Amino acid sequence: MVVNERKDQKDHFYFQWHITEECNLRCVHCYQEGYKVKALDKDKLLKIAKTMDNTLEKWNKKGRVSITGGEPFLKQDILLDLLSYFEKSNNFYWVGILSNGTLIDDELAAQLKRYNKLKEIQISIDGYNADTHDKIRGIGSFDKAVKAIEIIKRNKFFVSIMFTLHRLNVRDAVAVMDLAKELEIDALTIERITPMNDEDINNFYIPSDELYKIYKQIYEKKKKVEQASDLRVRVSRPLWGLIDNQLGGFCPVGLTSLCILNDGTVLPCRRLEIPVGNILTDGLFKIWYTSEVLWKLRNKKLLGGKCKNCSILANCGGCRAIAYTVNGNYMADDPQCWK
Amino acid sequence: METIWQMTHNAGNSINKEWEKKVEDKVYFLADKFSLYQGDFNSKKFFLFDISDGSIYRLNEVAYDMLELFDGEKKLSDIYDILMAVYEVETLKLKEDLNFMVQNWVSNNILIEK
Repeated sequence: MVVNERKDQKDHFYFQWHITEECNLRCVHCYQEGYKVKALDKDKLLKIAKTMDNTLEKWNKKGRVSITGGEPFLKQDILLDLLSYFEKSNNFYWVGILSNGTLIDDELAAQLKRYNKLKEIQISIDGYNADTHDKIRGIGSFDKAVKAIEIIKRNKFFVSIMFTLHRLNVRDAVAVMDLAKELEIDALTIERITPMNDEDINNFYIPSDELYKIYKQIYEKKKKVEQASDLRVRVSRPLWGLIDNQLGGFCPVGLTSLCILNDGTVLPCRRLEIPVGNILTDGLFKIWYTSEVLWKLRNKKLLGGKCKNCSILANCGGCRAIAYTVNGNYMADDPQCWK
Repeated sequence: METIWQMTHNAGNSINKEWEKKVEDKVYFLADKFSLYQGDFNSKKFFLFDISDGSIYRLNEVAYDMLELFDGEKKLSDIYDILMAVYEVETLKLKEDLNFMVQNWVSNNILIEK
């Protein structure tokens, strides 16, 4: 989730929309369970876009939407239709695309340039080089992603990298900043993985003491790399406030953001897999006003464990999704917290 | 944001006595498109949400307490009794106020007669 732009957040609302579950990669850490669910047709997707738009209109909020998948460029025609819709909307001012970068070519980049509200294209890079990245995402995927970055940079887009930090690539977490600098990336987000089940915990989870060490290393490198280049390393999620109180932030889950899946299912966050309704059948008002899960997430006083009385609660609050997977309780403390 | 109290002002101040008698046996429930919300204990925030069009009405605590009682089971006379036990107010005054508000809530399709 893109959560770096925190200023005036109360006036803003963020959607992460997974328009399709189809994907051409099979990344080992992917939170998706299936890849074959038939995508909604164009009319239904436009209905979802309109529902989001109407909701922002009613709330008088400025909207941001990240369109993703699966791999969103597998649905290129629909994606372009949605970009056209958001381009005309009075309520959305920012659109991002989150992609694995394997399907982007010059022709597509030229088409994307037509959309002024398309402000950012994020490419997933999970290693400093092909060795690590391809072990996670599949052979050849690193070179394709780098090529895509070069194409979209050449077309003057704001380009970001998402590096999902876990046990298989923890050694690349610092070096990936050099890669981002080398590729003249505008922003690099380093986010720890949210395990979705016990198997994920066994394979990918980084214990708190180890996470602390790697966060410190990332922090030191971030300062250097940001001094030496225009690259911005985004570290806006919970726990970063423990490294430097100017970093991190309270997660917007339940407050100013929602995730919509390919079939219209609404989640508080993609990583917090507790369905709170379906945008097509319930609409967003019913979900937003009546979901007990969302109301609990909004209430800091209901946080449990060490989060409850933590001195940096306002700037952290822990990751609710990781708490849910590891503790079985989304209001429990963040198990990766080292405090 | 319009308050429920503001909404009631539009309905005028006179209470139709005949209407009052008739409605004492009536049972009402909150329309499906509305949802009541009470904040946590200390926040003293009370809202009525219209989930069909997204409107948010801020309530005061008394209006919230009253609306919450319309559960599709209790007669209006039962609700008078409950409120009399909670609030220190003359029976006549309470009936007058509640009837006034019920009229308004019904006319705004917030309460539906069972």
